[in-house]
Amino acid sequence: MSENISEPLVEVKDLRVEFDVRSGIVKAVDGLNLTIYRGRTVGVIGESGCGKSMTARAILNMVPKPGKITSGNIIYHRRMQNNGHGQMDDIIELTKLDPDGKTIREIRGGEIGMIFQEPMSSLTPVYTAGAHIHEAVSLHHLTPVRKVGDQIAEQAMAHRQISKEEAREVAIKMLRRVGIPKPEQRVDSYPHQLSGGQRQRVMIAIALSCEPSMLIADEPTTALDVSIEAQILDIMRELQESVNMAIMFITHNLGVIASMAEEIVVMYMGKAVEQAKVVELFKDAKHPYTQALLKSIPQLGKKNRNERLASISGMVPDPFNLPTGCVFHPRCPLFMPGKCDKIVPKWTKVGEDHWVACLLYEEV
Amino acid sequence: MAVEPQMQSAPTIPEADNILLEVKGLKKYFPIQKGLLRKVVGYVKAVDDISFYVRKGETLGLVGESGCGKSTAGRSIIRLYEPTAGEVHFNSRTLSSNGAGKMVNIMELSPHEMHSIRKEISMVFQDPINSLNPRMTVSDIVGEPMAIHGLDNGRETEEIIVRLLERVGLRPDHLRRYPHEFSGGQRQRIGIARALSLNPQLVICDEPVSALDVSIQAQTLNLLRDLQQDFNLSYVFVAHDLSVVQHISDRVAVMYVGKIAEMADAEELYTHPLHPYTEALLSSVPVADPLYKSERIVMQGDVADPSNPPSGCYFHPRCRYAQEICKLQTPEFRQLKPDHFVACHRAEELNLEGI
Repeated sequence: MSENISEPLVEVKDLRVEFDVRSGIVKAVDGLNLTIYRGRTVGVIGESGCGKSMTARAILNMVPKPGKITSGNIIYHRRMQNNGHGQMDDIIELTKLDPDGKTIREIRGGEIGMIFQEPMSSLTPVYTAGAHIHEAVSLHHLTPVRKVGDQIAEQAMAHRQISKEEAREVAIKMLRRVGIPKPEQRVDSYPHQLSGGQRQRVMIAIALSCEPSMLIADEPTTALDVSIEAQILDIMRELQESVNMAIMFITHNLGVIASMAEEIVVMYMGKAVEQAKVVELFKDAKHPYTQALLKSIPQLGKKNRNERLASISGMVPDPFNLPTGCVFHPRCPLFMPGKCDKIVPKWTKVGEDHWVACLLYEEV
Repeated sequence: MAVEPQMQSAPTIPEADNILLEVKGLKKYFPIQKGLLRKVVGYVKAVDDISFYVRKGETLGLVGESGCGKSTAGRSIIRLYEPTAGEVHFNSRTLSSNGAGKMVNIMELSPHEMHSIRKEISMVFQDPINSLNPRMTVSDIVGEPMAIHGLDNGRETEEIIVRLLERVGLRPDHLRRYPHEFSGGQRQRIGIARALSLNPQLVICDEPVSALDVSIQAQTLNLLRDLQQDFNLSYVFVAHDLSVVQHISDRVAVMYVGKIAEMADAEELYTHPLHPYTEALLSSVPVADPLYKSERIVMQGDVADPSNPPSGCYFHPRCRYAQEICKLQTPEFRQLKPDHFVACHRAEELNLEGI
C-alpha cells in the first residue's frame, strides 16, 4: 500500500452545485476542492444541508434535478489494466460526461461503488426525476421482489466478464465476507426476510462485488445499532486493505469518523471550512465551527453529568439569504465585527496538511 | 419447545421514599395473527416482565438495540399500549385528596382517573415532523392539552403558551405559524413545550434527539436538563445512543429482547458493568478520539427474535461467557450491589471491562 501513498484517484476542483428553485438559487456546494487518494479514507463531516452528500452525488454525476453543476470539474484517474502491458491511467473529467452515457455508467457502481443510509428518505423526492436517477436508485436500492443473491450476481456481471454461475459464487463469497450467516442459503432470500443490519450488509456486498477503486459511503451506518455498525466498519476496513480501495466517508458521527478516516474535511453551508489529518483535527481544531462541533457531542466515558454541552448558538442560515463575509459569522463565538461580516475568508495553510478558512488565521 | 420464563423478581428499592414511578413485572405481548380467521399463532414478547423505578427529579435512561422493547416499555407506562400484565405505581398529585401525592396503580385506574393521570405524565416523541399536526398552529398545538383538560381560559392560556414558548427558546411571534415553517430542532422544542403545558411530573422522552443534528442535539439536551431543574421533572429517557444516555441520565437500564439485563447508576454502569451484554455494547461505541484503541467484543449472530427467543438467558447464543446453566435457566434480575441490578448467572465471578 505504501507505494500508493499519494496517488490521486479523484480530484474535485472548485466544484459548485446550484439548485435553481422558485424562491431563488441555493448553493449546495460552493467552491469545494478535495483530493481523494488511492487506498486512503477521507472523512467528510458537517450537519445536514452542508453539501456533503451533494458532493458525493456530483462525483457520480448524479445531481438530482433541479440541481446543476455550474462550475468546476472532477477529474478521475481511471486505471485501465487489460492492454497486455501493465497499467496505465486514463484521465476522465466526470462532470463533462453525459450522465446517461456508457462511460459514466461503467464507472458508477463498477469502479466507484456507493452505499447510502438505509431509510432512504433523502431520496424520495427524486424518484420521478429522470432515467439516470432511476439507475442510480436501482444501484443502491434493493429490489424487494428479487433474491439478494441475484441482485449481487447481476451487479458483478454488469461490470465484470463472468458467467452466471461464477456470479452466483461471487454473491455467496461476498455475503460470507460481509458476515451474513449461512450465505449458501441466504443467497436465495428476499430482502424482507433479512433484518435491517443484514440488508445494509447486502448493500455493502453489492457495492463491493466489483472491487471498486473507490467507495462512497454516505452515512452507511447511521440507521444501525452500534454492534452492527462496528461489524460493518470492520468489513469496510478489511476490504480497503485487500483491494487498496479509496473511501469517501460521509457522516455526522464524529466517533465513527475518528476510527475510520485518515484525513477529514469539515463542511459548512457548501464550503470546506477546515481540512486536516484526523489526529490533528481532533487535537488541534482551528476553525471555531469545528471546535464547537467537537465540543457539542456527549462523549462516552467522560464524566460530564453535570456539565452542559457546548452548543452552537443560533441556527443554520437560510440558504436563500446567506450571511455576507464568512457564512459562519452570525453563530461564531469569536466573531470580529467589521471583518468577518465583510471579508470572505481564504483557504489558508496553518500547518502540515492542515488548512482552514477563517479570518483568525489570515493577515487582514 | 417453549420454555416458560421464570418470573423475574421485582427489585427491592433501596430507599422506599421519593419514588415517583415503580414498574413491576410489566409485560407487553403483541399477538401474531395468521390466516383468514386471524388465528393467534404466537406472540412477540416486546416487553417481557420488566421492573424498574424512577425517583422524583431524576432521569432513568432506557437503552438497547432496535427491537429490544425500550419504546414499547415507555409507551406501556401510560397505557398508550395496553400492557399484557404488570403493575405501574405512580405517585399522583391529582388523584390524592390532600395534594401531597398518593401511590396509585395506573393499570387499575378508571378511564376518568386515567384522563387526569395524563396531566401528570406526558411524552416527547422522536420524530418532530410526524408527531405535530401540520394543520394546527403552534399556539393550538401547545394549547391543545390544556383545552382537552378543560383548562382553557382564553387570554390566560395564551399567556401560558407564550411563556412556555419563550422557556423552550421560541419567540412569541411564532405562535400563529405552522409546523412546516420550523426546522427539526425548533419542532422538537414545540413538542417539548406541548409536553410541559400541563405541568407534568414525569416526561417520557422517546428518542427525542435521534433525528437532530449534533449541534441541535446539544441545544436540546441542554434545554431538557434546564427544564428538569426548573420544574423538578423526572424523565424516562428512551434512546439507543449510549453517549447521549450517559450524558443525560442519573440511572440507566439496559434492555435486551424485552428484558432488562442490567440497571444501575449511570457512572457505575458505564465503568463497572456486570452484564456481558452491557460490556459488549459499550465496547462497540465509536469514540471520538482517533488515538483511542478499543478492544471491541464481537457479538456473534444477530439480536434474538422476540417471538421465538432462545432458552434460558436470551443473550446466551451471543455471549462469550455462556455456560451450560445459561442455556437452561432464565437468570433472576437481582440486586448485586446497592442500587445495581443485573440478570446474569455469572455476574459475581466475571470481571467485566467498562469504559
